[in-house]
Amino acid sequence: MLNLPSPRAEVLDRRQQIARDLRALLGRDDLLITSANELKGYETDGLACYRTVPMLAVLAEDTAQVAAVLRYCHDNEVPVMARGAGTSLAGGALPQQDTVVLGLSKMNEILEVCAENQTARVQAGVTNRNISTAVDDLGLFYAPDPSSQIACTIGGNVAMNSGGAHCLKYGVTTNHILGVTFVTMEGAVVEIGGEAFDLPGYDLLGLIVGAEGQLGVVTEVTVRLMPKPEAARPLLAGFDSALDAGACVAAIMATGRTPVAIEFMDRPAILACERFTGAGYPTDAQALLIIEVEGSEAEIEIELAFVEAMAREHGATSISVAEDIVSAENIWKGRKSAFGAIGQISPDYLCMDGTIPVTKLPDVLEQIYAIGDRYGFEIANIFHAGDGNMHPLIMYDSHQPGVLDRVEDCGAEILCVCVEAGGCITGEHGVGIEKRDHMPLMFSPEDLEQMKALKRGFDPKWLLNGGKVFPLTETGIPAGQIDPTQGLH
Amino acid sequence: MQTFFKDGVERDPATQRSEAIFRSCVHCGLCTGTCPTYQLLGDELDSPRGRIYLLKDMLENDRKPTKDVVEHLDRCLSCLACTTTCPSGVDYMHLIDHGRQVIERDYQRPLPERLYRSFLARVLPRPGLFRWLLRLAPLGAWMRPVLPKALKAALALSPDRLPAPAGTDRPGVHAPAQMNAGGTRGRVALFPGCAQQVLEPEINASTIRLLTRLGYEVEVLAASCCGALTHHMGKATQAEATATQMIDTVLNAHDRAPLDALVITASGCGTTVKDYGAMFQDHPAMKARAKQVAGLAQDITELVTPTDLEASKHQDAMLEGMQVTYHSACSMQHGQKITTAPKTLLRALGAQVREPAEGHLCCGSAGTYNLLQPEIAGQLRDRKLRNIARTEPSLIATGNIGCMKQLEKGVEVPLVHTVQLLDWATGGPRPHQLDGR
Amino acid sequence: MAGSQATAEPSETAADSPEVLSGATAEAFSTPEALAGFVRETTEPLALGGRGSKAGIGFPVEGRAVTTSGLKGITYFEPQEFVLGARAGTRLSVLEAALAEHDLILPFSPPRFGGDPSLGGVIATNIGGAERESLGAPRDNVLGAQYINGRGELLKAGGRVVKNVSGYDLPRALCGSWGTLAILTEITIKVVPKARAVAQDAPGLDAVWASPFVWRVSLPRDRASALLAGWSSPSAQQWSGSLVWLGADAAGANDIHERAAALGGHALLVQSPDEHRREHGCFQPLSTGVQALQRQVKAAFDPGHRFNPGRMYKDL
Repeated sequence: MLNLPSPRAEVLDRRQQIARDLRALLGRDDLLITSANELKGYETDGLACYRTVPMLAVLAEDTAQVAAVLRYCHDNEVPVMARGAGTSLAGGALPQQDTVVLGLSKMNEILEVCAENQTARVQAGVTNRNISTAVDDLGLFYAPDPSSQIACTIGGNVAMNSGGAHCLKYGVTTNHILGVTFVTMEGAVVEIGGEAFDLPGYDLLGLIVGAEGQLGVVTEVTVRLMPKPEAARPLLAGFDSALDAGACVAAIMATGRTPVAIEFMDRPAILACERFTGAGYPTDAQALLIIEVEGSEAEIEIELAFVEAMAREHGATSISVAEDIVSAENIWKGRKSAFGAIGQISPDYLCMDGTIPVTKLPDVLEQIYAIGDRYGFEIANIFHAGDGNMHPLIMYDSHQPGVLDRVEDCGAEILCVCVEAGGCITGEHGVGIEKRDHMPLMFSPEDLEQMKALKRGFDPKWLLNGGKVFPLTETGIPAGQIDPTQGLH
Repeated sequence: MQTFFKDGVERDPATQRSEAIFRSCVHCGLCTGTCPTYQLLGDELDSPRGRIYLLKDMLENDRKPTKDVVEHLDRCLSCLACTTTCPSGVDYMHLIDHGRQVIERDYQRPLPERLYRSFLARVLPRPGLFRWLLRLAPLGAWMRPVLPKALKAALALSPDRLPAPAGTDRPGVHAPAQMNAGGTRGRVALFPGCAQQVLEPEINASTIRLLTRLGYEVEVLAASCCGALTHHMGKATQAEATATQMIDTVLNAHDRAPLDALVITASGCGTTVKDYGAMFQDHPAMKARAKQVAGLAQDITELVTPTDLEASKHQDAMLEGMQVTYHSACSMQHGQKITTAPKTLLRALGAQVREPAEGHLCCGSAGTYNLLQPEIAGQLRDRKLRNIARTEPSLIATGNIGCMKQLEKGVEVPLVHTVQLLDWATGGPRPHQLDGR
Repeated sequence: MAGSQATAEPSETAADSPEVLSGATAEAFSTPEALAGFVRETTEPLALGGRGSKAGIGFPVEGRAVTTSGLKGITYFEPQEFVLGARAGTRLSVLEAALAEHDLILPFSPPRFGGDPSLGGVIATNIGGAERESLGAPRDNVLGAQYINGRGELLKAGGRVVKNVSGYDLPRALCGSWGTLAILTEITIKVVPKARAVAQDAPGLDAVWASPFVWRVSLPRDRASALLAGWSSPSAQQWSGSLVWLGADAAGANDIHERAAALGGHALLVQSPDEHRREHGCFQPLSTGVQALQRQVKAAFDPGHRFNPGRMYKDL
C-alpha cells in the first residue's frame, strides 16, 4: 500500500501543549476537537481506503481564526491541513498523524452577490451548489459543477481546480475565480484579485487555484457568475458497445459543435444510477452518452437533431430526449450521483481521473477494460467524455487480503495508458495522496523541483498539507521537505 | 467501505445488520450537503457520514457509548434527508435507530436528562395525561426562570389555546356519506395519533368527513400511539410494547371486516408504522403481523386521488388560485418518500402550490427533538420560517402535527394540515385557523 | 509524442529577424536547448522579449538583450482535438494561417499592438482581447508550457489536454509575468472553431491610440461610468464595460492607477513616452501583502533576479 509519511515524533510529543495553546488562541472550547473518537471522524475523505487520525482538529469560524491558527502552527512548526467538506477522491483532505486539521466548513456564508457585475463573494466553506442556488433567482449560476457539488466546498474546488460535467463548455474552476482572501502560512491575510478580470501583477490566482492547499489557506472567494442559458436539454443515447460510444464522442467533438456536456457511462454505471434515480437510462445498453445542448428553443432543436444524427451514425441503439425540467434534473442527478451509486454494486472502489485526447477514447477504453480483466477487477467507466476526462472506477472488496495493492497497481497501469495516449494523470480531482507517486510519469525531477521551489517559498518549513502532490523521497521524508540527504537544490 | 470488526466475536443480529449498512457506505460525503445539523454546525461529526463513522468505530470495538459520541448522535434529527441524498442507498435510518438503542441500553445519561426523557416518553403518547398536563402549562409560566432549558423549550411550545377533546377520536365506525352503486369505496381504519388528537383534533375530524364523503367506511381505532416517540429515543422495549398494541388493534379491526388501508394523518407516525416489519424482524411471533400492518399503512394523501377530489369539489372552489406554500415534513418526503402526492391534490383543487427554498431541510420539530435540542431546533425553525416567508403564501399546508406546532407561532398566515384543506374544498368546514382572516 | 504533427513554418523574411529590442540587437537562439545553455553559461541580467510589440510597456530593463523570436514553428497540432503547440517565437500570423486551414481560430484574439506578436509574448503578457468575456484571456487557454527558469533548466509543466490538474498550475502562473519569472520556449494552447462572428475591437480605440498616453483599465462593469465621469479625452469600452481604454495627452493622468483601484479595478499604461515610464512604470501598484507573495514567486523561478529585472515592479 501507498506509503504515508511518518509523523514528526517531536510534534506528537507536544500534543497536549499544542491543544492548550490552540484553545487559548481560539478563546473557546467548542472549536477544538481533541477526543480520539471524534478525531477519527476526520481521518479520511472521499477516498476512504487511506486513513490517518489527525493530531487535533480546529473548526474555524472566520479568517482571523484561520490566520491565528496558521501563525501559531508556523511559529511552532506544527503541520496543518485545511479541509472543506472532505469529498476529495484523491485523498486531498487526508491528514497525517502529526497534523492539525483546519476545518472551514463552518464558514458557509454567502457574503455578497452583485448581479450587475455577475460576481459573488462567498466564504470558503460554502458548497458549490449553494452558490448557484443563491443566485438562481437572478438568472445566474456558478458554472464549474463537480459531481459532488451538493456537498463539496468552493474552498476545496479552489484547492483542486475542480472541474465537472459542464466544464466542457464553461471551463474549470480557475477560469471562474476573480479573487480570494488568502492566508499565508505565516498568518498574513492577503487580498488577491478582486471583482475585475485578470488581476494585476503575477497571476497568483492561477498559482493558488490547483495548488491543493499547499501554499496557503483560502478563506473567501469571489467567483464569476454566468447567465443561465435560456434552456438546456439532455439527450440520452444508448450504444451496444462502449467503443461505439467513444467513437461517437470523438466524432462530435471533431466537428467543433461542442455541446455543453457529453458524459459517458458504461453498463455497470447505468444500472447502478438507474436504480437510484429511475431517470430512464437505457438499461439494456452497454454504454450511454448524456449529451446536453443549450440555448433558445430553436437552437436546441437544431443541435439536438445534429447530435441525434451523429449518435445514430455511430450505431446508437436508443435515443431519448428529456421531456421536461424534472426529467432533465433526474438525468443529471443520476449522473452526478454515479460514484456513490457504485456503492450499491461494490463495497469499495478506487476512482481514476486521467485525461486523454478525445480522439483516443475508443482505444484507451479498450485498454482499460483489458487491464481490468488482467487484474480480475470489474471496472465501471463514468466520465466527462467531451473533454477526455476518464473516471474508471476499479471496483473491489476491501475485505480481501492484499487487494488494495493490486488495485493500486491496476490504477497505475491505467494512468500509464492515459499518459502514453498524450494525456495526464489527473484532470480534475487533483494529485492528492493517491497519484502522488505517479507524478514522475509526467514530470522530470527538475520539473517537480520547480514546483517544490514554489512550495518552499510559500511554506519554507513544509507544514501545509504535506505528504501530497510530490513523490516521497527515497528516505520516506515528505516530498520537498528539506531532506538532509539531498540538500536544497 | 471497509469495516474492522474483530474476527471470531459473536455479534447480535442488529450489529450484523449495521455492519452490512457500513459496508454499503462509500464515504463520498454527499449526505453532508443536505444534513441540517451539518449546515448549522459544520462539524463532520454532526453529519450523517460522521455519525456513521462514530457508530462504526464504537460497534467495531464493542465500546460503550461515550459522552462525545452520544452528543453527536443526539443531535441527529432523524430527518432522513441523508437517505434521500445517498446514492449508495445507505440505510441510515436503521443505523441511527440501532445507535440510539445501544445508547439507551449502555449509556447512563445524567439524572435530570434521564428524568426528562422518561417524562416525555410517558406523557406524550398518552392523550389524557398530555391534555391534563397542558392545562397546567400556564401555571408553569411563572416558574419559567427556574426551569431547566429543556423544560423552558417544552413550555414555549405549549399551545396558547387547548382544543376540547373531539368526539370523533373515540373508537367507532363512521359510515360512508354516500354509497356508490357497487357499495362503499372501501373500509379503512383511522389511527388517531397521540399528541395530534390533543393538539389539533380537527385533523382527524377532517379526515373522517373527507373519507366518508368520498364513500369510505372509517373505523377509528382505539390505539393512540404507534411507538415512534419512544422508538426515536432508543427505548426499544417501550416502543415495541406500544407498537404491539397498535398492531393488535389494527388486525382486530381487520378481522372484524377486512381493511383496505390503515390511514395515518401524521407523517411521523406513518414512517414508523410503515417500518414495523424492521422493528419486529427479530420477533418471529410478531414479524408477519407487523409486516401486514406496515403494508396497510397509507398517508391520507396517498389514499385520496385527484380524481376523487375533482369529483367532490365544492362549487365555491375555496382553494382556487390561493397561494398555498406546502411544507413537506421530513417524515413525509424523506421517511416515506411521498413528494408529489400532497401537492398534486392541492393543485387538483385549484391551489397555486409553492415550495420554500431548502425544502429538504428539517424545520427542527423532528418528534421530540425540539424538546431535547431546543437550540438547534430553534435555528432550523427560524431558517424554515424565513424560507417560507419568501414564498409569500396566503396559507401554509403540511402533513405532520409536529411541524405544525413547531412553525405555527412564527408564521403570520394560517398554517393548516393538508387534509383540512382537502375537506374544506370538498364541502367541509373552513379550517378554524383561518378564523378572523 | 504519438499523434503529433510537426508543421513546418513558412520561411521567414529578412525583416523578421533578428529581433530588435530597445534599440539594441537582441541575441536569438534557434532551439530551446541552446537558449537554456546560454542562460546557464552567462551571469548578467537579461532583457528578454519576443518580437517587441509590447516593448514600450514597463520599466526599461537594463540587461543583455535576448529574444525568443528565433524559436519558431508549430510543434504539435491536432485540429480534431483543438490543441496546438508552438515554439514561443512563432508569429501569430503563422499560427492563424495554419489554423485557418481547419477553420479554427485563436480563442483570445490578442491585441496586436501594431505588430505581429509572437505566441510567447502574447502569453507572457496575458493581455486579453475582444473575446475575453466569452473565451477567456490568454491564460485561460494555456494547457502546457516548456520554459527555462533562472537556473537555465529547460522544464515543462501542464500538458496537452484541456483538463489537467497534475501538479501546480505553473503555465498559468507564467502568464502575465512579462518574462520576469521564466523564458517561455514552447506553449500548448486550446484553439476554437471559427463558428461565429468574432467580436470586434471597441469603437473609438483608434482615437485612444492616437494619444501619447494610453491606459487599459479592467474593472467591475458597473463602475465604468464612474471612471469615465468627467473624462473628456478619448476613451473606449469593451467587455460590456469591464474594460475601459483611456487616451490622455499629458502625464497628468497619473492618478489612473489610484482611480482604478478605488473602483475595484486595475490599470496598465500600455503607451507612454519612454521618459515617463522610466520614472513611473506602467503596472498597477500592489498591496504589500501581494508584493511579498510576488517576491516569493520570483525567488522560486529566478532566484538570481536575471530575467527582466524591474520590468514590472522594481523589486521583481
